[in-house]
Amino acid sequence: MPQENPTRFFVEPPETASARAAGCDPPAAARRPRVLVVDDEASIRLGCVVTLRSDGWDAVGEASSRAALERLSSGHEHFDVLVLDYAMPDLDGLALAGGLDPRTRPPIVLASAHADGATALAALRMGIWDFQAKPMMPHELRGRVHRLHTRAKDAAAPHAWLARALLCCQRCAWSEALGELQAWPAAERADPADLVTGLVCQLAGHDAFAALAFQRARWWPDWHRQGVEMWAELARRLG
Amino acid sequence: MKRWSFVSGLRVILLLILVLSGYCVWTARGLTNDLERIIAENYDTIRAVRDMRSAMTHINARYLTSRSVEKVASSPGTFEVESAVILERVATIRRSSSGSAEGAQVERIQTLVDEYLANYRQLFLLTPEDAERFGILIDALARGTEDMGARTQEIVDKNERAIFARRDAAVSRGRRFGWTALGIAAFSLLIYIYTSVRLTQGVFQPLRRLRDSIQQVRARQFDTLAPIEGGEELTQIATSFNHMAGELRAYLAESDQRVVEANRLNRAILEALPYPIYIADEAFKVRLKNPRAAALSTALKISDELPAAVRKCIDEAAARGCELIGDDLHRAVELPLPDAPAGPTPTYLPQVFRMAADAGATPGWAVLLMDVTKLRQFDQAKTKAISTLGHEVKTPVTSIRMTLHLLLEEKIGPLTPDQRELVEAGRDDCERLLVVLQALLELAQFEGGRVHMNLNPTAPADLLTQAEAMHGGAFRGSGTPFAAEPPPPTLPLVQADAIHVVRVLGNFLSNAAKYRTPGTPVTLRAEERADGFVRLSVRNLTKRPLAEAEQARVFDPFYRRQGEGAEGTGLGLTICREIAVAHGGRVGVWSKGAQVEFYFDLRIVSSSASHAPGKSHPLLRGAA
Repeated sequence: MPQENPTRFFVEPPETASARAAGCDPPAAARRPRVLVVDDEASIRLGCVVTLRSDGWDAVGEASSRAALERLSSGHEHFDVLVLDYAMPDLDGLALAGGLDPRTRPPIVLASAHADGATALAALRMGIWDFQAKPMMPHELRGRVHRLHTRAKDAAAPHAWLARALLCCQRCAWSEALGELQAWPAAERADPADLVTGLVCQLAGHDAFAALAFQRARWWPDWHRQGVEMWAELARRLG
Repeated sequence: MKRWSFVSGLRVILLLILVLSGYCVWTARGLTNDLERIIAENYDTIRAVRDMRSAMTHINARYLTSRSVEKVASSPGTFEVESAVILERVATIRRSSSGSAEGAQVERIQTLVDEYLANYRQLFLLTPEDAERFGILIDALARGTEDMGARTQEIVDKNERAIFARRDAAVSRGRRFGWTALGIAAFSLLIYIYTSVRLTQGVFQPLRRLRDSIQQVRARQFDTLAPIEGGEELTQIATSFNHMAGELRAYLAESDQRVVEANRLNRAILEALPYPIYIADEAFKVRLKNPRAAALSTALKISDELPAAVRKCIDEAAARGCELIGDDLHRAVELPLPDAPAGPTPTYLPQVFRMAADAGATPGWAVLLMDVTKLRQFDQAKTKAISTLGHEVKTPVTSIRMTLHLLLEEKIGPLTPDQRELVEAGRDDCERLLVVLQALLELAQFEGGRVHMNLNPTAPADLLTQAEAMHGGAFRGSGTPFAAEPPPPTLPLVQADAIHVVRVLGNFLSNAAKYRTPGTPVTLRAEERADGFVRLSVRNLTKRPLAEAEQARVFDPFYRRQGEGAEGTGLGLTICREIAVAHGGRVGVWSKGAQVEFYFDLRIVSSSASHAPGKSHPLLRGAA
């Protein structure tokens, strides 16, 4: 069982707690956290910006994904969270995320109305674990962005193995993520543990153990085909 | 004629037998008469003569040997007795004699007897003194005895001759009778042989010819006529047979004409039909094709073979054991032409018909390829239009919905009660519109073939367990009695995409909960069908039974039963049908009284592709 022998699946050596928090730069208390919403649909973009602003975020909208990439790559502006639409005319959300350095980029929420399995798999492989299905409700967007932003704080909590594992996942450090999950005491395990373990095992190439984990999570191992439902299920279990 | 000859022959033979019998009787009677005459005349005469001679010898021995008158006269008794015998025998001879010659002889004997007896009577009257007279009389008696001997011998000889003559005549008659009978028998035999030969020739020869004619007709040489010959009955049979053969010939000619007409009509239909039609045998070799099919084959650069895609359809029909007909565009096949100019790929919807081997027909398959290129284009255009329109509509609706939700949160400003009511009404419409749009887009995805099914050998029990796990909780939470019947342990594995199958069952369960009679349970069950499917079904008792017309339409898009509200999108069951089609399975509904069952039939995995139950994924097997 993977949990009984965690070292068995380690591809990379586990890092220290300080290293786990690397790349997670919580917004400074002095300023409001900033979020960049990139969507070519003006009404959606405006809705997201207004929704987040009403929740106290410093939300900024960007219509062009290419302009957003330049804006993010310039280093002049700092954003705590990115909300990217998947389907955009010049550069889709995944390509935009791919253009950013995974070690320094802000956490990303990918919003899409019709992502398929391949898209989901590509997003997960890029460390994008937060998916917002369209059409979205204001409270869903708020909750997702907020959770993503506070994950770093959760990661510092005494029993936040899941948060730390997800932060590792955002950096595509699969073995570290698996190590965090396996270090999670069984008695304190929360609902999404098996699902995330299965995903991490599969992304790390441990298909057989992914299947076992998926079976325990009552999910079938063909998640990469049913990416939308899988993502929705993951989002549900992660709250 | 033959019969008359036969009867005539029999008559002659009968006549000859009668003649022979009469002759036989006549001859026997003649022989009997001769014998009677021999016995009654000749033999009696001879015996009388013998008795008379004996008596005379007796008398002579008694008296002629006496030397004296005294001795003779002393014993006249012997004379008296024997003389009576002699007279009686003479009378007998007289009675037996016939004809004047014999009569004269009898008279002479009578005279000699009278003289003889008179001499003896005189002898007895003599006295011892008449010794001379005694001697004379003794001499006379001796002469008389001698004459009597001569005369009676003549009579005896005559009668013996008569006996011999009659014997010779009888022998002669017997021989003549024998020869005559032999001749008659020989003649009868000849007549019999002649009659038999004529009868054989007259009866069996025509029968043989009739038999040969029948055999020729049997060999389909209908122009053969049976010869009209033989007896009356044979003639009638031959005439009837010829009449029958003529009618058969006419019928065949008529049938041939009909066949030709039907063939012409069929060919005209085949040629007139705007679709390619192939008729193939069991070995999938094309036996017949209409001009359209010939043109298609030429364009595809195949000769006597079926197009590969069509062959697959026939294989599918053979595997299912049924014909493939209908207008389901999912079955359409594309037949790209090698040298065709750029444009839409020709698309055909095969209609596969099984041709049974009965009535002497060759078993095989008939395939009509309905050209659905345009229809497919229209359908794709429709699907694309729905998809595009859906997306185009969905985005602003999504935006409006988010805006309305933001307004209702009042985080960007308060609303008056009237404003809130208006915004809430708009939000509800947006929600409903989004649900419909989502379903439409999904249906368009299915219809466009963009949804891929990941079919794996799956245990039906696993599917029921998942459905119960995903939907049973909601049922029980709402207070609806729900029961998943344990499936039979012998259920085979099915080809299934578990997620979609569970979704279909969820849809059925949702409908059952919605339309069930309050207080009655909803049942989820699985059973094996005889046609290679396993049926997963949801049963419940409904408030309103489903009529047959409704059963046929309940899976149509946007179909709603009369009298029911507009709850739901009206596309849920349609999407279920699309999922079933993508599985190669089928969905349906039946209703009996208040009981309604929605079912999803999944194809059983062939034995070669099956896995152990409960191990539905290779990864699980590897990890176990």
